[in-house]
Amino acid sequence: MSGLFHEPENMCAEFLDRIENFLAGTLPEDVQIEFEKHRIECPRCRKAIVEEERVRWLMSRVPAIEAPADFRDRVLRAWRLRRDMVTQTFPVATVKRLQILLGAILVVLLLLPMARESLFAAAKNLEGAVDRLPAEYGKGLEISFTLPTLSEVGIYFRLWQAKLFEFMGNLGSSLADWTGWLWAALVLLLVLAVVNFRWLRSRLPSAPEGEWRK
Amino acid sequence: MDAGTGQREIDMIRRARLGDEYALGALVDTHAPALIGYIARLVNDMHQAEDIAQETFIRAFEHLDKFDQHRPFRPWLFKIGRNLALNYLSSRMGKERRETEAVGDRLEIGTVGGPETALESSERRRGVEKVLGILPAHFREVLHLRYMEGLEYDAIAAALELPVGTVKTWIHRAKKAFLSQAESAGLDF
Repeated sequence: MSGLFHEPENMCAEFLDRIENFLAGTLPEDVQIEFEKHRIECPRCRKAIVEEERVRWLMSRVPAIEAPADFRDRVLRAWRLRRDMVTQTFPVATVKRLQILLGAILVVLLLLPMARESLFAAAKNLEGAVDRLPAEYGKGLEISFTLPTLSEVGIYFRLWQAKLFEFMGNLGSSLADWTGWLWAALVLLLVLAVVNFRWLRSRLPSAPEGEWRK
Repeated sequence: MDAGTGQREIDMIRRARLGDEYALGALVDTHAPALIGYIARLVNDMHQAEDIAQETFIRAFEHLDKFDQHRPFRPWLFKIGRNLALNYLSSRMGKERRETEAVGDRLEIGTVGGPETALESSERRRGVEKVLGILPAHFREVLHLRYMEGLEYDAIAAALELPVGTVKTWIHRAKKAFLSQAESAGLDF
């Protein structure tokens, strides 16, 4: 027998720790005998045994729970569904990013027809500004193999900007007849985004672990 | 779990990882009653427990590659189920009033008993269920793991990721609370 039990309080702690094994008779013989002696002497541990037996008795009245007959099929069906959904669709984050990108493009396309006049005017303005520059600026651009100066870079930039505005203005003119369809597409996309969000919410755990132990 | 059962389970999990539905089904059959019982004890609602148990199995199947085969499967499964049950409980808190009413009735659905329990007064069984339902969730949980699952203190501590000392204290307090409630309810034992 270990020296642990020489102090009565240690004995009680050890006894209470292994009370279930004691009741089940699964302790080594010498420990079992020592505990038996302790039980006779210690009213606190005797009380603990009575409590333990009562709890056991009550817990043994709690009926075992059986899974429903179709539970296995339900789990496998749900698992197949989840597996197929995951493998057949894009990852959720990718879908969300694509939706945002598509939405942004649609909004720009919707604005273009309304802004086409302003775009043409801006393009014309930029080209006019370049035309009004002194003639020597143009020469440098055509024949020089040296690095362009800051002013020359400014000319390039303005010309490209003018081309871009002109292109967008033309696109806006072409899209003017399709505005209705673009609005419809945007609304559809918004609906899809809401549905997708709800679907996501239903799949993710609803809340972090709360203060349930109050 | 003996060595034979352990090896059989490892084989089953290996096959389940490859998507073998027979193996997945066998894992469900083996662990579903214990898992549903454990979750039902936590959430106090049989139907909800079945739904959470179903989700637990699906999550477990999705993450089988992360499971350490050298460890027993059930505590790992219980841990997933516990997290889902706690998520459910925290979302339910605030929505519901106290969960003490009609607990016995809710948990009675789908329960079975042996010949002894068949002879038992259903009134008394209902009373015990009701008393258990009054206890806080973590008391119900440790009592279930200790007396229904037969786990040792260290196994419970590992499953709940708590120090053994805390588990002992909880079990001690849970027993006191359980007995006191049973006495107040007039359960004779």
